[in-house]
Parts: sequence; structure tokens; C-alpha cells
Amino acid sequence: MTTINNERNSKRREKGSLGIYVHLPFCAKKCRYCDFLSFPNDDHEAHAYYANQLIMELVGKSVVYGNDFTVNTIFFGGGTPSLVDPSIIDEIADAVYSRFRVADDAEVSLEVNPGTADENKLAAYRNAGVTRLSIGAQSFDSDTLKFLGRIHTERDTLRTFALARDVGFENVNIDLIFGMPDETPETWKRDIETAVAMEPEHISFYSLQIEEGTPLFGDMERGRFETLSDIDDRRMYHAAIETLEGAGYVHYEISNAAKPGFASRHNLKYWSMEDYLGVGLGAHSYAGGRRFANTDVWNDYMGACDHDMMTTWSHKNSRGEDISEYVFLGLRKTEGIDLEQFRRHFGKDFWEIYNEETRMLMERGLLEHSDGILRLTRLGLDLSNRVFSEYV
Amino acid sequence: MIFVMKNIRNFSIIAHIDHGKSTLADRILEYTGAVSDREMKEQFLDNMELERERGITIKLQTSRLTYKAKDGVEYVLNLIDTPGHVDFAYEVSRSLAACDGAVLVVDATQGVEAQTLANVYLAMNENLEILPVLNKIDLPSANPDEAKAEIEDILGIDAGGAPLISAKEGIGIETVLEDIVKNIPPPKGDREAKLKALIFDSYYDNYRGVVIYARVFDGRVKLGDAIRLMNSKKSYEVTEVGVFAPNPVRVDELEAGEVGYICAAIKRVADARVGDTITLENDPAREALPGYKKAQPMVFCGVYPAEGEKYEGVKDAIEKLQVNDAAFLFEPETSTALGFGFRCGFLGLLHMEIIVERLEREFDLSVITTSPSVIYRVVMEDDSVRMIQNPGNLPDPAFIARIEEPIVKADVMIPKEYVGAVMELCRDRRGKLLHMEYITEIRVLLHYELPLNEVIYDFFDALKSKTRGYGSLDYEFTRYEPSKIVKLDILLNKEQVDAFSMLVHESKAYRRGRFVCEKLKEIIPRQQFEIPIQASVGAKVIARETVRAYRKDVIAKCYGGDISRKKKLLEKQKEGKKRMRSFGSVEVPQEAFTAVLKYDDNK
Repeated sequence: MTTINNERNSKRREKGSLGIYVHLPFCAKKCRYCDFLSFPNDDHEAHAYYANQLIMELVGKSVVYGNDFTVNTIFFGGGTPSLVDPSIIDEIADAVYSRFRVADDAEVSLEVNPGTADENKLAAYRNAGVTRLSIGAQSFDSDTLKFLGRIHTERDTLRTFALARDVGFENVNIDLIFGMPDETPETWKRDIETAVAMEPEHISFYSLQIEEGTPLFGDMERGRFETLSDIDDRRMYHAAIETLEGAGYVHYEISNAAKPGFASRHNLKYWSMEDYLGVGLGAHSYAGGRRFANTDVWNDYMGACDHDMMTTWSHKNSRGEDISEYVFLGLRKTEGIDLEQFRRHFGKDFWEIYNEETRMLMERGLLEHSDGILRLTRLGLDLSNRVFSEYV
Repeated sequence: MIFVMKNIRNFSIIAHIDHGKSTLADRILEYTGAVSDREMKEQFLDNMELERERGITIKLQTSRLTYKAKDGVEYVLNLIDTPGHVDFAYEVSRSLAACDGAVLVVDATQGVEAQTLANVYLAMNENLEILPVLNKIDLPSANPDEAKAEIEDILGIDAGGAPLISAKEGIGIETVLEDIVKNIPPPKGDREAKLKALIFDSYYDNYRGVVIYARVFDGRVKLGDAIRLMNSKKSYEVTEVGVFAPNPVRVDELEAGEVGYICAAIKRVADARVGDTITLENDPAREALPGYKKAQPMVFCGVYPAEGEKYEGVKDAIEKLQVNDAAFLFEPETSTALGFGFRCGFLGLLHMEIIVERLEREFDLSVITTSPSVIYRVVMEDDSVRMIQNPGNLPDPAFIARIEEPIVKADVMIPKEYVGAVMELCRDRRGKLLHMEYITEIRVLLHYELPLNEVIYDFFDALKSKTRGYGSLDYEFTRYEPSKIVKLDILLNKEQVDAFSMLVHESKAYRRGRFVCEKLKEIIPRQQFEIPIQASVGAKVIARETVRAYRKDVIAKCYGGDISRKKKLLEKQKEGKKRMRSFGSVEVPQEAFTAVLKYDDNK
């Protein structure tokens, strides 16, 4: 198993570094598999109105956290951030830069739907300080795109990617989904190979999850399609890893691979228990040992007078919770968790806490332990929930 | 006591389940002022939560009432309650033996049913005066004339003057009381004779030890008397005597004809067995009252602490229950699958269900029960005999000459349109029809012999469903009979799980094995490896199912730092696992043990 070895992504926890996640819940049309907090709305006024409220929140949060942290990642997610006018992205970025200390080499990511991007927009993002684009390709097969309810074609994706390069983006991610009902190992192979041939710095490859409440789920319940068998799904997953590794990508998290040095620093924060603030509707934060989240009710969010009023729940993690989250989130990374680091971090020996569970998981071939590193095996990657649930 | 014997009436109320026995008892208590309206809980006599839910009486509650009759005399009425299920026939018979008469409640909308008959026979055996009463006459479907005709035709009891009442509405209660006073004979007995008192119930009280319910037939008993229990041959000193009114009230003395309670620092209910005779240690009666029987459990099963439950906790609870229930036996047992637990004996399946439910409700315990079994008589090649109720203890078949199983005589009473369905059911359960009786034009009594092991699973449920609730059943043990009994084993991942083993008739092994395999396949979640589920008799596999392995269990995306949602999912998964039992590498949900007992005929 490959481990990741670049110093930017190393486990070094810069004291006081912070990620900021900016949630933009608007999209052109809801995808059929999507259960994220998003809704169709292409009204610029509404976007601007929302951005004002979000900036108010940012300002409020900066008063609390601004002094203790240096921001080194910003992530514009959604929804479809590329649906809103770049001036809005610029305003929000400005607010972050003016209210927080921001590292010079900060990673600033933005999610792009190929159906909403043009050259001007991409150039404007670049001017706004965005350093990394994440392009929601999902597939290069037009039937699959239709099945997923995507608004774009495979040609839109190729064009968007080319434009991104044209305007100077040197860090681009391609998002892919596999495991669709009619998908065959061949079509998936074509998808992953197409992506690899484009030579993005980062590729995410998600196994399709049909979530309750989505149109896709309804269709499944009504028997309109047969889900892909787990065996085929896993075949595709492992084939993807093989292709990616063969092309020089490091498989660094269950569903993510990157060229050395290009792992998503922002997403790594989630898996490494580093601090991040989520701003915007329904956004989640982990900062100062506390997990908290904003309301996901539009009127409540928009009607809030300050950022505190937006918070619907807040929970101070106990030490035990921190330990458990550290383990089950950390194991998502293929480099695993360094048990010596664990001991330094928590002042406790890992085996004293988790001996029984861990031995059992190792016996079942789901975990492996060598040189003080504990990580998922190949089988463990397929059955990771079985592993994680032992540690919650 | 100030009451003379001729002013005492000792009686029971007998009825089929749901015909209104408890409601009538409540009304009598209210009417005589023993219980005020304020105190009146619905159905005072059924005071256990469980009893009230199931509408049946398990433990007896007895009350002494005073009633000023129309003749101007004040009478003492001792109402002796009886348990209401076939599992407790012996206990019913002892309660009746303490009476001089019985009020027979018949639901005017239903007429005579199997248990009515069974209870009447028990009452007749004790030579009781039986007073029929027709209940529920307020209901539009009541047909008192037909019910009366049935009472006369089937039971041979004159029902001409039977009071028409509605216990629920409080109609006709006084008529019943007058009937009792006039027609039930006063007790006979000699207060100067040697003490003979019948134990008809008992319960354990933390402060007083065992409280015995007794009917004094001859002689007197008072505080400080040295008494002897003639069958168990144990002696005690009386620490308290009293009556239930219906709460316990101390009295100086109980004498011939009276009903009351006696405490004598007795530690276990089993030491004061129902049916035993109390006499004086220093001036004993020559012989005990007739009818004593030892408690004879008929149904056995393993009871084990569920995952996370402590053995000691279950042990304490079982001991506490046993103190109060002479018919409930237990001994420690070990299962390779379930660990340390207990082998428990019960009078019948209902008794078993009640005990298990009490463990769960009153003691807040979670337990696993194994497949119920009857006692088989195993005759070995060397002619020695072993009584086996635990499948795990069945000797090597090579040394067994034959196995005999207990047979019961079962009376099934049904409306005639269900005869076909019920005969089919009984045939399927290996029943032998002895004869069929048309007891009225529309009502049939089927006399069957059935193997007990066919009755204990779910016969009663099946009967109810096949007769839309109209069928009723009464049974008693008759004898052992040679039978082709085999041991059915269940293997998970090639390993035998002893807790699933059962003894079944050869002809049933295949169907039951297949049923258990299918059920387990439904219940056992997919795991990391493929799990073969097999049913076998000896070395021969007779049924097989496979739980496929899961290949994928991933949260592909951890979106926007929302850890809490994923965590909840993982926690749910972990919770599910906690309720599992591990057998080697196979995890089996606890429900599996009870699910394989619920035999579904449609399957």
C-alpha cells in the first residue's frame, strides 16, 4: 500500500491553522442522487442576499476565532458554487482575507459544475484567489449523466477542464461516480481512463450511494432498476485504484487520489481532526474542540441577527469522543494512523484503549499493523464501516 | 370468631377465559363493601400487571366478605379465586377443594366452552354445589336461553333459576349473592377435632416469610401453635393467623369452616406446597386430606442471560420467582453457545411465557430462552431408564432401545363448522381422535390424544387462528408412549449451536429443520464470510440455507465536514452488533432464538 509523503500534507498540525468551508446551496437543477443541502435557484439577487448574510456570519466568527488561527484552506462547496456570479465569490473571499489572517500558500478550492462554467467565470475565480478547481465530471458517458440527472454533457467537462488550464489553474480535481446500475467494468474503465488522460492533479472516485429521499431512491424502491451488485462495485473500485496508481496518483483516502503534493489539504483536515469553520446554510464546524452546525432552514439562517443565532447545535467533544473520531476518521486515510503520534497526541497508548477491537479486526483481515502504523487493508477499504463502527 | 359455621359460605367463581369471572368478583367485592369505589382498581383480584394484560389469573387472590342477606342474617362469604388456565389445573382443583360451592359464570353470548367443562368437572370432583350464572346479558348477541340449554344438556346442571347478570354493568349482583347464601351449603367440620387445614395457595412476603392460604376443615389453629405439614413432613411455629378482607387482618384463631392465612416463618413457597395438609405437631390428625400431588413441570427450556446481562442478576431473579412459585423449577446449566444459564421447568407453555415475561418486566432483565422441550423417557439397551428434557443430554443413539414421549388427553371444543380444519390441525400434530361428541346441534367436542411436544409449541395459537378464536382446549397428561424421536441439530458455519438443538418426531424433522434454516437466514445479517446454515439429524444434513457474504460497506463520501451524520450511522451499526451473539465467527441476533420458536404454519 502506498503512503503519502509530501510535507504539505504531512500530519504536522500547524498550531492555529484553520480551514474555512463556505457553503453555497444553489444549483441549476437538483441531481437525482443528490441528498446534500441544495436547491435550484439561479436568481442573482437571492445569491447576493445570501452572500451578505454569510459575510455577516464570517465577520462574527472572525471575532471569535480570528485571533487564534491562521487560515490555510478555503473551500467553496455546494450546491453549485460556480452557479453564482464570480463577484460574489470574490466578495466572500475578500471578507475572509480582511477578517482572518490567511497564509500565503493557502489552498482555495471551488467546486465547478461543467454545465455552468465559462472562460470569464474561471478567470474571475482565479482573480478572486481561487487556487484549486474541483470539476464535477461524475462520468463521461452521456447515458450515465442522464441517469444521474446531471445538467452537463461529457463535452462540457472536457471543455471546462481545458479552460481551467487555459486560465492558469495548476491544481484541478475531477470528481467521478461509479457503481451505477447499468454500468459495466468497461464503461467505468473508459471513465477513469478518460479522467487520467486529462492529467488532473486530483481524482475523486465515489461509489454511488443511493440515499433515502432522493429521486433515485424512489426509482429503486419502485423497481425501475436493479442496483449493481456489491461484487461488481468493488471490482470497479479496485480497478480504479490500480489504474490511478499506475498513472502516478497516490490513493490517499478511501475515495481520493492525487499526484504527489496535491492531496486536498482542506479535506484532509476533516480526517485529521484539524480545525475548520463552516459558514453558510447548514455548514458544520470543528473548532476549539467543539463540533457545531448551522441551521439548515433557510428562513432561520437568513433571519439570524448574528452568527450565534445560526447555530442549531453545538457539542464539546469529550476526550473519548476526540479519540474515537481521530481513529475512525484517520483510518479513512490510506496512510492510516501513526500509533506513536496517537500516544503523543492523547497521552495514552492506543492498545490500552482499543486492543480487543483492533485485534479482532486484524484477525478478520480488515486492518493491518506494521511499524507502528495501523491502516485499512484492501478488504478493509471495502468494509470500512465495519471497522469504523468498532471505534465509535 | 363471632361467626358460627352455618353463616359461612366458601365458594369460588369458575369460568372459561373472558367469560367475566374477574369482573364478577370485582362487583361482589364492591357490593359487599370490601373494597370501596376509590380503592377499586379494575378487576381487583387480578392484581398482577401481567395477569391484567392477559386477562387471566395466575396467582390466587382470596377475600373474606360480609354480606347482610335479605333474611336479615349477616353472612361471611369467603371468595376463593382460582387460576384460569389449563397449565394450572392442579392448583384450580385445590382451590376448589377449599370450597363448598362454585358460581359457574357462562358468557350468554358464547355458551359452554372447553374450559367451562374442564372447570365444572374439577368442581364436581370436589362435590361442590354448582350455581350457574349467565353473564353479559346486556350485549345484543346474548342468548341466555341457548346458553341455559347448553348448561343443562352438556353439564347436566339445572340452569332454570340461573341469575341473568351483567357483571360489567353491575346488573343482578345481589341475586347472585342471595343465590350463594341460599344454595351453597355451609361448611361442615368439627372445631374440637384434630386440626386439618388445606393449603390452597401461598406467596412469599419479605417480612413474614411464606403466607399460606388455608381452609380449616377440622380443629383450630392460633398464634404460637407448633404445626406440621403432613406431606412435606416439615414442622413450624405459627407466627401469625389472619383473614383477607381483602387486605390481611390478624385474627386470634382460625377454626373449622374458616378460610384465612397462616404464617410460620417458612422460607420457600415450595415448602408449603398447595394441597398439603396442616395439622398440629403435638396432636396430629391421623391422615392428611386427599388430593395432594407434587408439582410436576411438563415443559422445560434453557434460560440464559442475554448479551450484557449478568448471570448473577438472572439467578437472583429466578430464585425470587421460585420462592413464590412451587411449580417452577430450575437448575444451573451450561451451553457452549450461550454460556452459563438455567434449565427451567414449567407446568406448561403459558407458565413458561409468564415466567419469562416476569423476568423481563419485573426484574428488567433481558434473557434468551431456548426451544421448549417435554420430558422424554429414554429406555436404554440395558433396560435402564433416563428422563431427558434437554436435547444436549440425549445419550448416544447406539445405546438407546427406544424413546417414549408424553401423551396428553386433549378436549377440543369448537363450533361444528371448524371440525374439518381442527381435525386437519390435530392430524398434522400427530393426534389420535378418540371420539367426537355433538354436545349440541352446533357445538362439537373432540376427544384427542396428542403428543405433548406437539401441543407445547404453538398448538393453542394455531387452534385459535383456525377457529377464529372460538376453539377452546383443555388437556392433561395420560401416559408415555414409544415414539420415533430424533435430535435435530442446527449448524452455523459447520459448527453445531447447542442452543438451537431440539428433540422432534422423525416425521417432523425435515419440515422443522427447513423452517429453522429459513428463519435463521432471514434473521442473521450478512457478514464478512458466507455462512452455511444446516439442519442435521445425526450426520445427515436435511436442510441447508446460505447467508451470503457482504462485499461492501462504505461511506464513500464524508461531505463538508459533517461528521455527526456519519457517526450516527456508525453508532447505529454498532448498536445492532451489541444485540448479537457470537458463535465462532458468526454473529447471531438475539431475536433468532425466539424467532425459531414461532412456528408459522403457512410456511
